[in-house]
Amino acid sequence: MSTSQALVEVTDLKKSFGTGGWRDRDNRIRAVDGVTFSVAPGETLGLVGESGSGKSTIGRCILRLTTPDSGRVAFDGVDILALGSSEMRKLRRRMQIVFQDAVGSLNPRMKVGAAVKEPIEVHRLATKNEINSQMLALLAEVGLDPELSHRYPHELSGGQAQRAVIARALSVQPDFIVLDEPVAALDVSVQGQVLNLLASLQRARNLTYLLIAHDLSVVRHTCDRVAVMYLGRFVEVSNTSDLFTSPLHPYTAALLSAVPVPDPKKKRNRIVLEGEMPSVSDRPSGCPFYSRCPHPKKNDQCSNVAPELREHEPGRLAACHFAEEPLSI
Amino acid sequence: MTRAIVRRLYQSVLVMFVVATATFFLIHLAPGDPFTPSIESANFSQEIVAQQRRNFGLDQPAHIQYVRYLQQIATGNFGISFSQHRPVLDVFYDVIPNTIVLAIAAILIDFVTGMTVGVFQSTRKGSRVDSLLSAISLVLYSTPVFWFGLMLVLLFGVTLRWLPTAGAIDPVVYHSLSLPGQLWDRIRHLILPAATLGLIGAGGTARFQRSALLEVLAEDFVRTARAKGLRERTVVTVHALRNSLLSIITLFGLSLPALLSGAVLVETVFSWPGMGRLITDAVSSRDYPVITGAAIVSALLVVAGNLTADILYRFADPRTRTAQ
Repeated sequence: MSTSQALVEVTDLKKSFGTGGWRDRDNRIRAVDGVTFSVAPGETLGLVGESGSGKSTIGRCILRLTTPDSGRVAFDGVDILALGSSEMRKLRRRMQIVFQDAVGSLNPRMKVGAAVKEPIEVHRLATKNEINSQMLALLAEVGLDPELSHRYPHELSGGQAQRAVIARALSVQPDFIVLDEPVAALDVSVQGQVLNLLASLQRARNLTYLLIAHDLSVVRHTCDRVAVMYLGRFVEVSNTSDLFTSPLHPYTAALLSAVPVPDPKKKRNRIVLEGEMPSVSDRPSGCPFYSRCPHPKKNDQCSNVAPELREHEPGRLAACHFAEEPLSI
Repeated sequence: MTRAIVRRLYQSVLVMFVVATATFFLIHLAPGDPFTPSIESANFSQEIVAQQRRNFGLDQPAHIQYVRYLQQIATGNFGISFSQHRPVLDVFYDVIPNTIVLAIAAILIDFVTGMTVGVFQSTRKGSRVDSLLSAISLVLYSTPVFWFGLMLVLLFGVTLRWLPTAGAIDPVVYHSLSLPGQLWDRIRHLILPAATLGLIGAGGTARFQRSALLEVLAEDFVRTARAKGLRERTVVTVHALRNSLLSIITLFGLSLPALLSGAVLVETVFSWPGMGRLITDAVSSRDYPVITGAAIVSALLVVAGNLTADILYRFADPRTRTAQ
C-alpha cells in the first residue's frame, strides 16, 4: 500500500446526509465517517458491508457524484475535490461507474448504440467516422451482438444490459471503474459470466476496480484486497485470502460464518449476530459494533473507547481492541 | 399504431353516444321546458305555448323525443336553437374558433411557464427560490378560476386600465381598424382570459414538472450521464427532461377537459364569446338543442385531446411504441 503508487487515494472521507430538512439540522446521518484507503493501479479493492453501511456513498464520493463533507480524494495524485467543473469533466474520462440496476442506468429513450457512443462524442475521442466502428468493437469486446445496438434498454435481458453498461464505461478508455454491486441484480449463472468478463477486461486493459458488493463469494473470487464496512467506518482491511481464512475483526468473522458452505457434513461455527445495525444517526459512543459484538472478552473499554483502524499484521488492518485474539470461524 | 388509433376512434363513438344520452335525459329530468311561463312570457296564451311545444316536438313523450334526437344527430344535424332561431351548428361555428384560440393560448401559457418554473426549481431543489416558487404555485393551483379572473380584471382592467376586460374584440372600433390593428385588438382581448386559465394551470404544471424531473434526476442513468462527464445542462435537458416529458404529456391529456370546463367560468367572467359562455346562456334559456350539442362537441374535444396525448406518448416513449 505504498502511497506514491496509488491510483486512488482517499483520506479521512466524511459524508453525512440531512434527514428532516430545516427542523433537525443536528440529526444527520453520518453515512461515511472518516474513511482512509488507497487503491493501487491494476488492483481490485472490494468494499463489503450491510446495506446502509456507506459502501455506495464512498463510490459516489470518489467520482464526485456526491460532494463529501470533508476529507481528500486524490486520483493519480490530483485532488479531485479541488478541481473546477470543466477540469473535473475532463478527468471523468479516466474514471467510470457501473451500477447495480443496469436497465435503470441506461436512458430508456436512447438506443444501446447511442448510449455507448455518447461518452466518446462528449470527450471527442474519435472522429465521426470512427465512432460507429468503435462502438461496435466495444459491443464485441463485452460479448454483445452488434445487432443489439439498435435495441432500446427495455428490450435487453439483465445480463445484456449490464454488458452494454460495461461497454459504455469502457468507451472512454478509463483507468478506474467503480463497480457498485455490478452483479447483484443478475441470475447466478449470468453473475459468473459478467464477473469473468470484468476480470478479463481488467487484464486486457490494465483496469483498476473498486468493487462494491454485499455478496462475499463475489468478493472472494474477484478482489485482491477487501475492506469491510460497518456504520460508515472500516472495521477491517486485508488481502482477500487472509481475510477469508482468518478474519481479525469479530464482525468480519460473523459475516464469513454466515456464508453458506456447499457441504452439509462440514462442521461450522456459526456466529449469529443479535439485533440490528444501530441507526447511523444515533451512533453509539465507543466501538460502533459493541452492541452486537459476539467477542467473549468485550468489556468497558469497548463501550467507551472507539478502536482505531491499526495494522496488526503486514497489510492487515482491523479496528478492534481484541484483534490479536480473533474469533475462530 | 394506426390500429390503436382506429380502436380509439371506435371507442370515442361510444363515448359520444353515452354523452348524448346522458345529457338528453338529464335535461328532461329537470322540471319545466323552454316554454314554461316566465316573467317575459307571462302574457302568452295557453294555445300559443301549446303550439310552440308542438312545433319543437316537445309535446311528445321523452323516449320518442330521444329516438328522434338520436336520428337527427346520426345525420349530423343538431337541430335548431330555441333561443337564437338558427341551426345549432351555425351557432357552434361562430363560437368554437374563439374557444379554441383561448384554449391554445392558455395551454401555451400553462405549459411554457409551468415547465420552465418546474425545471428551474428542480435544478435548485431545497433552495429558498425553490420553496418560494413552490408556495406560489400551490396558491395559484388552489385559487378558484373565477376569483382569479375577477382579480385580474380589477387590477389590469379597472385600476391600471391597461387591458380590455370583456369580449373578444372591441365592438365599436374593430371594423374600422387595419388588419394588424385588428390582430392587436384580438390579442389585447385575449391576454386576460388566457392568463387566468393559463396561470392557474401553470401552478399545477410547475409542481408536476418539478416532481417528475426530480424523480428522473435521481435515476442511475442520470448519475451515469454525470459520471460520463456531460455538462449539467446536457444532463438535465437531454437525459432527464425528455424522460420527465412522459408524465407531463399525461398531465396535458388530463388538463384539456379541465381547460374546457374552466373555460365555462372564464368565458362568463370575461364575456368571451366561446363555447363556455354559449353553454351557460343555453342553460339559463333552456335551449335544449344547444345544450346537448355543446355537451357532445365538448366530449369530442376531450376525446381528441386524449387521443393527441396518446399519440404524443408514442413519440416520447419507445417502450409504448414497441409494446404495440
